Amino acid sequence: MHKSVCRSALISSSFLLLLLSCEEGLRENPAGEKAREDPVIAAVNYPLAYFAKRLADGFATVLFDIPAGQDPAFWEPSDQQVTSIQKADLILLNGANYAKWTATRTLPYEATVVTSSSFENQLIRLKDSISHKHKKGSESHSHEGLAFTTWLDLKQASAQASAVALALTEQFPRHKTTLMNRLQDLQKDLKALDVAMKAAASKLRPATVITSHPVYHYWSRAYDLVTPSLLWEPGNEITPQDMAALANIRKTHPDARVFIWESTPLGRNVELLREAGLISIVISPCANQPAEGDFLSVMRNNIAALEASGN
Amino acid sequence: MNLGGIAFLSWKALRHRPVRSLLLVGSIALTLYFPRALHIFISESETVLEDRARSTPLLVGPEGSSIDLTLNSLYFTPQELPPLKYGAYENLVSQGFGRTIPLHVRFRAGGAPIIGTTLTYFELRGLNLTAGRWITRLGDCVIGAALAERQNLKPGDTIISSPENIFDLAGVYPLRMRITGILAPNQTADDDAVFVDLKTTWIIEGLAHGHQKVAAPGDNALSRESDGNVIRANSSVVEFNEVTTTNIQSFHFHGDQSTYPLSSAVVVPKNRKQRALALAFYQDEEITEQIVIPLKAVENLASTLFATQRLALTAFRLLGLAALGLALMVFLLSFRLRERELRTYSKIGATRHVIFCLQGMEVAVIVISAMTLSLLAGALTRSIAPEMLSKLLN
Repeated sequence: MHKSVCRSALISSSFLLLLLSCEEGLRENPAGEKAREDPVIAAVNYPLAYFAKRLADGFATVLFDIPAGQDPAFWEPSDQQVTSIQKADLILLNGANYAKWTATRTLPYEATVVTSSSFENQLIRLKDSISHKHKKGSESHSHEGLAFTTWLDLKQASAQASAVALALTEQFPRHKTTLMNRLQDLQKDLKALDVAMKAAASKLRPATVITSHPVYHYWSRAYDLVTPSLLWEPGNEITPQDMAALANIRKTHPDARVFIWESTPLGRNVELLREAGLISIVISPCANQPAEGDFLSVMRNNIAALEASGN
Repeated sequence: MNLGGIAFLSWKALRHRPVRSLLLVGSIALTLYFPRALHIFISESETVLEDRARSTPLLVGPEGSSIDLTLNSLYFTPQELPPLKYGAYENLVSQGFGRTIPLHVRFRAGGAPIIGTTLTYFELRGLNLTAGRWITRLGDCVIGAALAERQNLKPGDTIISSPENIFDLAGVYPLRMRITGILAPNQTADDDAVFVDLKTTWIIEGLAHGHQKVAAPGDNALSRESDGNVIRANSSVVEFNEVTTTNIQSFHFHGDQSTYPLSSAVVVPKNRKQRALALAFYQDEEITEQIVIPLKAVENLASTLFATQRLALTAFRLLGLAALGLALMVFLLSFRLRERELRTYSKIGATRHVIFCLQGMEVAVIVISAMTLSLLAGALTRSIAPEMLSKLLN
């Protein structure tokens, strides 16, 4: 009896020691190494990174390294950054020629997913470009682009989230149920935002809303608003030439009372617009990671700002 | 007389007439070598061709000769084939028959073929880098080990695409490409090639380019046509012949991308079902592309080679018989000329048997030397056959 107890104790303590040594081994393994073992999903803008994070949290790492303050649409990656993106298991593209760097860099074709493919035929073509020729007799062409802030139409954002989920399901089939459940939750959130945005926008109609930058095409189409745009930066002081351009727009849209900025403008700019009879509000496209909150909270802030201006 | 004495006297006799002896060894060695070399070259060629074909399950390309398509896609042999449209490639990708790798094999940099493809190609061929890194942007390239060694190129150097027609002064500028990496040798056509992003080959083709901004008002490089919305840039507009960090943003593509050209697409089905579906898909008469099983194409080519080999071997055997007859005649005439010498051997006590042994030893030394030489040449041929074949195909 005594012998068998001793043997059991010896076996138990050996097993415990083995377990402890395994745990020690895990502790010695740097966290970064574990992260590297996880599948990686790269995204070209924050909304897609947010969708990927919500859908694949726990079994994949999201790679979105665009510095704060930079517009992902015009970001230019270094060779090292492209190399990191090339190693990703999935690369989420926005489509609509967004993130021009993707056209000039080498990306693994099979890992890329264009998330706006399902509404490709509804993309807005910008018409204010100039055609040109290089040689006499050669065909003329223009470098006209597509409006690319697709996710500001929250129905389109929902379609993009579905495309992300579908790509993730193909890549990680064993997480299919989790992905579908999470997609359902995400789409519920986006639908609620869409309904709230519609209600807030309806309060502004039929008046025109002037925007500081031409990034609200899909937003104005989805929420039935007229949004002539300027090319103003929130951080630059408004010049007399800018005011002349604004006056030109107001000649054709005298009913405009609200002016939309992409981010918080200079106080002086707000003052100048107030003197001109316009209320400044911020509708953030949220293309890059916000300093606080997430995609949903930024959209809620946008809706709140719209509602406040409509009252 | 013992065997050592016979060997000594035979050796002395052969050395006494070195030119005759060497001519006999050389001609017999060549007679034995040629059929052997042909056999080695053809069997090695078959092995090399089949190895590459086996790692390329299916090929999709324009209609035409399946052997030309296979040689162009697998060994980068220049061929005058119609292009495969990028739209057809996109259609193939959308069918989901497995991994699909586009190939654009048309241009050259010096003598080396420029291959436009995607990063998946390197995975398919199991290619690794010995120096540098993979391509990351337009104008980047990785080059094969043999090419790097031959031209003493390393990461950071540049290589320029060759113009298709040197007399076309208004044609597309050659593109200076940045070498980012050197591939490990794999004893295939990859060792002599320049690999770029597919889009880079479209720049070389003139379908994409980068130039100074032409939309700036008041620019001297511009003239505005009567409709006011079309600008014609004159020849002073600078087109870039190299992609750099500063000008990369100006590179853009013109026209409908679905009409852009490819040479072919490699299809790697994940399972037998995908393979069967892919083969069935291209049986549709409305589809203008063809699907090729490279291994079958190579086997067809090999069977043609075998037929040629059989003909050549028959010819070589007949020639060999004639050559051996001539050699026999040379020996007989030589013994007739040396009749006095042989009579002297007899007078000093050599029996007829010893004299016969002396003659036999001379013939044996010549024949064994020729056979050894032929075997050595055969071994050398076997070792250089894959490289020779690669050079012949390119």
